Amino acid sequence: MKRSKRFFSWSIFLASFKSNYISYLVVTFGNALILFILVLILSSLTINATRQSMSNLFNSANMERQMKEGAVSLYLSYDEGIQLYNDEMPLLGEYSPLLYESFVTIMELNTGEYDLALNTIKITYDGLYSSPLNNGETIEEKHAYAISETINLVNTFIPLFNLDDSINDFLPYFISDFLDQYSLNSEMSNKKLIKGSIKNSIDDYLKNKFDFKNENIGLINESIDKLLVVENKDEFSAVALNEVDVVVDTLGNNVVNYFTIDIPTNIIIEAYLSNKDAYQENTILDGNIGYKDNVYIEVIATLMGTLFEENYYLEALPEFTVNYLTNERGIPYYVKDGKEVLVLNISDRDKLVKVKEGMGKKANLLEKQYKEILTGEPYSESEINIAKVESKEFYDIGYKFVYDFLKEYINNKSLYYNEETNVINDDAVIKKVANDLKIYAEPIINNLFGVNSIDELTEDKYGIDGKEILSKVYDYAFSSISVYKTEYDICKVDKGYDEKTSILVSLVKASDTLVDQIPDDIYIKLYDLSSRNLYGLVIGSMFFSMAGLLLPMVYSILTSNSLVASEVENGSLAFTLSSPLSRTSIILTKAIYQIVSITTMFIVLLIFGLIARELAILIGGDDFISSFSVLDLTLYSLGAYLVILAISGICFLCSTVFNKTKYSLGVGGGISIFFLVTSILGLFGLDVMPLALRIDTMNIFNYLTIIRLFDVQAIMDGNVIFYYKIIGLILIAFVTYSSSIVIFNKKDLPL
Amino acid sequence: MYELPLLSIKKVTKKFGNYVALSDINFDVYSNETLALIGESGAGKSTLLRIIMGFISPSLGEIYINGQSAFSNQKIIHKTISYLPSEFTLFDFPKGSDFINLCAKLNNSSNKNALSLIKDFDLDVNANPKRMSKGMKQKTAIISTFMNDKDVYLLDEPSTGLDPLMREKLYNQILKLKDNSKTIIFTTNSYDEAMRLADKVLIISNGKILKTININDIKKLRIHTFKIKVDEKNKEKLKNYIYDEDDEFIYALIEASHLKTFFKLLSNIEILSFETLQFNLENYVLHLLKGDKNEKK
Repeated sequence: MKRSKRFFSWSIFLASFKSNYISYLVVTFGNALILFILVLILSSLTINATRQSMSNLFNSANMERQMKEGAVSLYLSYDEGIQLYNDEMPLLGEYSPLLYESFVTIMELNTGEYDLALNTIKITYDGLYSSPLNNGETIEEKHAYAISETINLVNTFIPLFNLDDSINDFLPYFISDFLDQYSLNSEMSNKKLIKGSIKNSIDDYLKNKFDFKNENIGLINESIDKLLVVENKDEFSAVALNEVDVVVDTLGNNVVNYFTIDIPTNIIIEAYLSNKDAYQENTILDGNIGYKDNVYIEVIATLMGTLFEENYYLEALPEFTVNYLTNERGIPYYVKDGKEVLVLNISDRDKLVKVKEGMGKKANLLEKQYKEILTGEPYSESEINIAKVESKEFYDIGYKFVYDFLKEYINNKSLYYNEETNVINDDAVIKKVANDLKIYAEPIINNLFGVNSIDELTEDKYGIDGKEILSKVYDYAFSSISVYKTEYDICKVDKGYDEKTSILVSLVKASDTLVDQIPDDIYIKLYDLSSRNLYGLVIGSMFFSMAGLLLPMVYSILTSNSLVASEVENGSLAFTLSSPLSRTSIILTKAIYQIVSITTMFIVLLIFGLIARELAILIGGDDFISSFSVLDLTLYSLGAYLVILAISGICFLCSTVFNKTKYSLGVGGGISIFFLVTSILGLFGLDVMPLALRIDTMNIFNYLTIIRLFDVQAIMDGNVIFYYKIIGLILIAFVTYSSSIVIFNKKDLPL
Repeated sequence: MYELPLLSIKKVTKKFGNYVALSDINFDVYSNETLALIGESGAGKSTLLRIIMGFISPSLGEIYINGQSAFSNQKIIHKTISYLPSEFTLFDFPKGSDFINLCAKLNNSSNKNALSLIKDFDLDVNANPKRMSKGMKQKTAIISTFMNDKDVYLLDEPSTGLDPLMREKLYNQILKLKDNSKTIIFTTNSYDEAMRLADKVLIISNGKILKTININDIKKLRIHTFKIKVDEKNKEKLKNYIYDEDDEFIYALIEASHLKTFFKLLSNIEILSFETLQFNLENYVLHLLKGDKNEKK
């Protein structure tokens, strides 16, 4: 009598086992064997190495582009450096201190410091004008005689003025103009006379001395106006420096052929002021470079550092996909009457020629300049700021390389430059660039591959040899510079692009890699493939959430059916049901049997998986240690186990609801297979699928299947959402099994 | 003294949707009584047994076992009754003995009973149930049912699939149970079987009890059956005795007490052919039912 009160019957449990053990053993060990073989197969494939080499392909392509950009930038700056040093710097080096001194002198004159001298000059002039020695017949001739003699006298007594030597050349111009004014109005104060004459004299002086162009005179005059209001002597130096800077920068674009660069006149003037003699004599103070040469190098290095920074600023701006056609200058266009019309206005964007779907490309440096037109969205302030901060680093790099190069150049001028013909020896420069690029490349390569030193990059570990990469760098330098030179000539001469555009277009063409030509869509997909955990994909997604579910699912469908519906249909349940056992204990024992059998099935699977993993590692599948951890394997098994538990619950419920095998199998099996099929289809829409194979719209299937409550991707990502989702599976299992028990207790059984 | 029925079926009705499988079934079964339920297939016999077993619930009515309502207390059913289903498959076990062992364990039955039954029925218990003939399966099930020591044995068409020899053994077993004061309810469509084994026969048709027949009473009546050939005009004279006829013959059932009158009647007409037949319960029942019909008319 006590038996009937129990909720579990060993006899029924064993009977269930006897009826179903063959399918249990086949499924349990069959599935475990499949996993075992799968893991061993994967161990021999060195997926990570394949993935690594794929990843290396992209890293290499990325590196190749950066190297080529670096080579072109170095070449450009070395070449420009030599030219600047030989052509513009001597001019700037002389011009800037002179302008500074002139400006200071003007301010000093204006404040009456030299009134005594000026009065002496006036008296001298007056004396000479009316002197019997003045042999001029007309007033003009007398005036000219007096001026020229005064200047001669002043030159003799110049030390009395206590003026800077560098200003000596300027004085005759000034005295001449000053006395012109004086002759017109002798009552006028010195200050007014200076105001009336100084512009003219400076202009004349600059025109004669530096071949100064008429159109730039206005610029100087503006500066003089500012100088003439300064009264405080302490401000003279700063004001003069500032005005020199303004003048030189404005004129700079004619002097230095590059972008909008602030010429660092302050470097020149400060160096000049701190040691005028050493500056003028180019004395060697320390090292083996003259004082002035060193200043020149600093200026050029500063300018070229800025060039690097500006180039890298575009590189550092975030990438985006260009879905419109652009011309080679990166400017988008549309076609009207068969002709290309460039779009430089965002409102014309809707007319743009679209590229083929999915064929959009990663924006290059040229296109980044037109981001707002191309995408409708300008770069945000923070993106710009980040790029600016990142590119700052490249200022230092450029500065250092150019500084070092010019130092070497000054000591080996003949190697790089023919001073007779004024021609740069390009081959020598390119060779130098190629050598320097190796130094330039190392930190970039280390950064790309995430190593501390290039020696760590070995074929075995990374599938690519660091030294081999460095040897390639040499080739990159030659090829990119040669392309750059050709393209630059075409842009500048044939196409007539401005300097900046010519440089950028040629730079982009010279640093183009094979990977850059791949449409963005495909690039992203390939890149995604290279960054995948393929063990997670194959074992986690393909096996545990798909192939490995099939056998246990078939087992659940068949066993559920055989435990209840089939026994009802064939009447064998009558024998157990007519025993003193309660219905509850019969159905509960059957449910427990099913749950226990599925549980042990997955424990066996896990054990086989763990053994296979250890074996795989032993026979050389080192990738497993990191990419297929024991925890991952355990969680995959747990997830798959709970999926089958939930599905077995559904099948068990169907088996208790229906008295006919055909309905129990049809509905229970149908639902289960539906879940499996939708999950297979849905897999193509999941993040877990490599982008190359992903069809996002197929994600809809994932909402139709409970198998998705087993989140493989979350396991790979170490995301706790995995644990939340499996609660859903546990609930389904709980609800289906308990309702099965309730239903079985109440239903009519046609036995 | 009033005896409490062991099993009491009260107003049991079972409907499957609109289909009425059983309609207002009432009968009592007393201890040591053997009851046969006779009816065509689909008459509702098996349904009635399933209701008694508690496998399906009646739409109306109640079953009492020893005065206790059974459906709400199924323990009492399974404690009291050993059931032999009519349509079944044995569990998918490797051996027949596995099945018998399971049933023994579930019902706390002694191995001794089982062994003696196996011997008696000459069953190869090592045979795989899948490969067993219908008869072997039936024997296995019979053994599994009969080995249990219960008060009531509910047998749904126990003789199906058995050869005459085995059927005889089954009858002997049933009679043995009867001797052991067990109560037996079985369904059959053989009147001979009912006649031989049962004390009482319930004729069920279309879910209703058509007739309850007490076999002992019939035996007391000593009924004779005759197969007679007479002219067409003489048939009319015999019509009260005829329960059946065909193109050539008429059939008559005569209780012993009416024999004298019957033969008197026969002596006055021309008999073309006359034959005495073995008593056939089925024929008798048909005759009775015909009488009932005529009465109703």
